[in-house]
Amino acid sequence: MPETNSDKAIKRKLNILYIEDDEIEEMKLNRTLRSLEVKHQITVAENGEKALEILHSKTIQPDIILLDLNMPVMDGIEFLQIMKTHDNFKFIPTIIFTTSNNPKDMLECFKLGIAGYIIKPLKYDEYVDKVRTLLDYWGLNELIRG
Amino acid sequence: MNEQPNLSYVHELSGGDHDFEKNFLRIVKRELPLDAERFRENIAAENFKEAAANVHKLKHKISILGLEDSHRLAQEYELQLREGVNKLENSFLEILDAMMNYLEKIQT
Repeated sequence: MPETNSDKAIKRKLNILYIEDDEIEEMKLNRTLRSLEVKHQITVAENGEKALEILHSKTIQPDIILLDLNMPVMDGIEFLQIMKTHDNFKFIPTIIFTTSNNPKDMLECFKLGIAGYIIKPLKYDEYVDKVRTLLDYWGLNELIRG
Repeated sequence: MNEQPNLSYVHELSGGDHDFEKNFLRIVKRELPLDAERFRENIAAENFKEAAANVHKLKHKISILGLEDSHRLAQEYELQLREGVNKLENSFLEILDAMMNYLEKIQT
């Protein structure tokens, strides 16, 4: 369905912190955003440790965080545990974006407090649909800024 | 292995942008042997948890080369390795070999 002007008006441009160690996955998301013609700003951190550095340095104020789980150095769950203890970061909606459907990980993430758990589909068209839906939804939300 | 690596996923992703495809495949080509080597080393040392993480990373590349059945096998293998079980090693190595042979023939 074509997007109307009123649809566009209510969607926000999001500042997204994408925590992902795999260069191919990073290229995939960036490419998908380009093809969807959305103007969100993506900053990539290759692991949880780098993501915390970015948050502390305040170079960006992410509206949402997309978080992979399986990463070297500091994985997604370790990152969540730390950010949830920090007053300035713990409110940032964090959506798990992973290929892992491990029920233990999922439960642990929801216990720690996440805003969503999205499994990356195998097929590209399904991947695009999920990314579009996710960003449309968050673009409609009122978010804490600054 | 009943399926063959292919570029349909990459074509869909690139939307016909050949420069993007080349760049993308160059990275896959560069990383795949390194990831495979790490996996082999961890299996040889019976570091199954580490090997599970290697399989997890390799799954991205399996899906990019359009190997859906192999992706399912890799998913199962990753779960097994996490539990310390190493039964699908040969089938998994067969997938990696097929991918590497295929990529060798592709100009990037």
